[in-house]
Amino acid sequence: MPDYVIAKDKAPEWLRRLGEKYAVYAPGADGMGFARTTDYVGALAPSGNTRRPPKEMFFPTSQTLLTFKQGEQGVEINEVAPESAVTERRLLVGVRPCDAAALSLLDVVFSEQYSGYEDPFYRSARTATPVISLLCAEPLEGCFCGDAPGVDLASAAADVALVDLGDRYFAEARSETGQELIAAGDGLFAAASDADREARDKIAADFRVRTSESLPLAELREKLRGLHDSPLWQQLSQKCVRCGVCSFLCPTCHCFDIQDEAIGDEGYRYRCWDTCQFTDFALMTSGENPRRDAAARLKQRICHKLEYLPDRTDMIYCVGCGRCVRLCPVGMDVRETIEELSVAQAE
Amino acid sequence: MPKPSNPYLPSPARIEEVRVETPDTKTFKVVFCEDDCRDGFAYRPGHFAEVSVFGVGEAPFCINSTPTRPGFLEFSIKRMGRVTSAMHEMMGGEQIGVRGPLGNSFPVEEWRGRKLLFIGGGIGLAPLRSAINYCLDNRADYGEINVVYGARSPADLVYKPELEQWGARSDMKLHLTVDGGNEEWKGRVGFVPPLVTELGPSREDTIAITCGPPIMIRLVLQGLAQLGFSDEQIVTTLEMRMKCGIGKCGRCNIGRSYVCVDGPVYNLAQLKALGGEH
Repeated sequence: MPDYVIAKDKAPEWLRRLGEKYAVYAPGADGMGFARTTDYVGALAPSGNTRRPPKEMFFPTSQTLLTFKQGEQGVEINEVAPESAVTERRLLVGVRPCDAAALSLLDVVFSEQYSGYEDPFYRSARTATPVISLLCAEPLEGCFCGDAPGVDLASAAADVALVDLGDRYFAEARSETGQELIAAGDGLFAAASDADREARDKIAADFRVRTSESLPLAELREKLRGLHDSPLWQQLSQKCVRCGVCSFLCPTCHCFDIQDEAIGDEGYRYRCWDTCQFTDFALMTSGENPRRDAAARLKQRICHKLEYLPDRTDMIYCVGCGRCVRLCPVGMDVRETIEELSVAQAE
Repeated sequence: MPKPSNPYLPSPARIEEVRVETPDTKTFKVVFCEDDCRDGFAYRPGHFAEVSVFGVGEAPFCINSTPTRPGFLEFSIKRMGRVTSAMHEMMGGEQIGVRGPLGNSFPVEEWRGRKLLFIGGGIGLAPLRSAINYCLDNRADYGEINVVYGARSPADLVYKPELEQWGARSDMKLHLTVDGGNEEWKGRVGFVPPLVTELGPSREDTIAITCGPPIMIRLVLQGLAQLGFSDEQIVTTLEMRMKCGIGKCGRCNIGRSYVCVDGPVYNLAQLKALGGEH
């Protein structure tokens, strides 16, 4: 698909036009998460990243799956139509390449091809919401997207991938929807030149260098197979206070719980985020707990992302966004964990 | 069978009959409220289902009836936690939800022509029951069938009327034992694993299928290995904590394998290849 450029001072007009068709969400001014906005200049603010990844726009912290009502005639089960999960036409603007890559990883997990069943709630939210990405101007402390094999900084996994070239944005349409989004900016875009493309590639390559610590994210997969019984897990997990922040704020974590709530004869079933870092995550009613200590839970978290899911999908489930590094209350650093594991001797 | 468009949506089902098996286990005979749910529910021995008690929650249970006797499903439920306790309060005529069939199943076609050795402990007979009755209903397809079953006490043996029927059949052998007997118990007293060793089944053309408490399974596996059974000849069905049942919610994995979609049935070779925690 053709590439475009748009002058920076024209970009807000493009978003304003899109705002007539879509409810635009962009990184909120408080830095917490994506928020509804009509500030089309601020939407493309280039620095930082939101604390909460945009996954919650597609996979909310809590989501009703069905409602029920018990009566004389038995139980009435009412489906919550998956399409009703998103009622407005949304557009996400300013998603960072790491988070865009994470969405494409979640697409796989929630697909039919992955486990034989498609998740209709995730899919309908995803289908209803195009994404415009923007490469960051500066990495944050703890960012290591440059080491994440699945993150394309130049051409992020979005409908339109933007890269700031100084006085203009490079805009690559990566899907038909992306083409339509650019078409809405009729008269504002020009075709990208080879020089623009080179400039884009150079900026992305430089950013990769700045966010790379040469962590062997992909290579660890084979190594981890021999480390399941390593005493290192115990050592590395000692500080963990089981708060679950690392996984709640991880853009690729997707584990959830399903619960019922009822008052009297009526109630609803919902799913909500859960984490393998909680003690009772795998606790069975019989009292058996295959992941009873912090060491087993850290192993699950690391191996799930870097070995088990890669075995299933051939993709690495860490995008180097650095949230778990920045926001862990006790300073556990996944980069150190990865480094320690990569030099460990197999048991 | 076409996949449901919303795999989180259970079908309403009615409890037809509740049978008390042991002081803590009941069997629920369940019939779908809608004909197309009943007809569309194509299950095989080894499949499980998510059972809903609305307002309390959902929990996974193996289906222990056999598809060769259609029209209903049976679940045997031991009173353990919230959902199981709520099930135990339910009576005939009340309504639950059923989502499934889920998971893989016993490879009963591959077993054709083989001798079958079923080894169960306690409530672990439940998943085996479906396969045993399936094979008995297709008796000509299989060789010799032996069932070894034990429980802590005579009162803890499940499916007693069925055990009597199996014991009376000439085309299979039932070997019962209890960990501790009582005055009325005339049968064997002792654990399951030594009984298997004592029976000394030939490994030739035999598949051993086992389910029970972890300690029993461990010792049975050792015993079978000593008898020369290869890992491929030993099949078991696993339990892990599950929620979604469709490979999304991320808690029931053993290594890369999700027990809810890739299991719960594994042979020992597959289990060993998974490594990681069991």
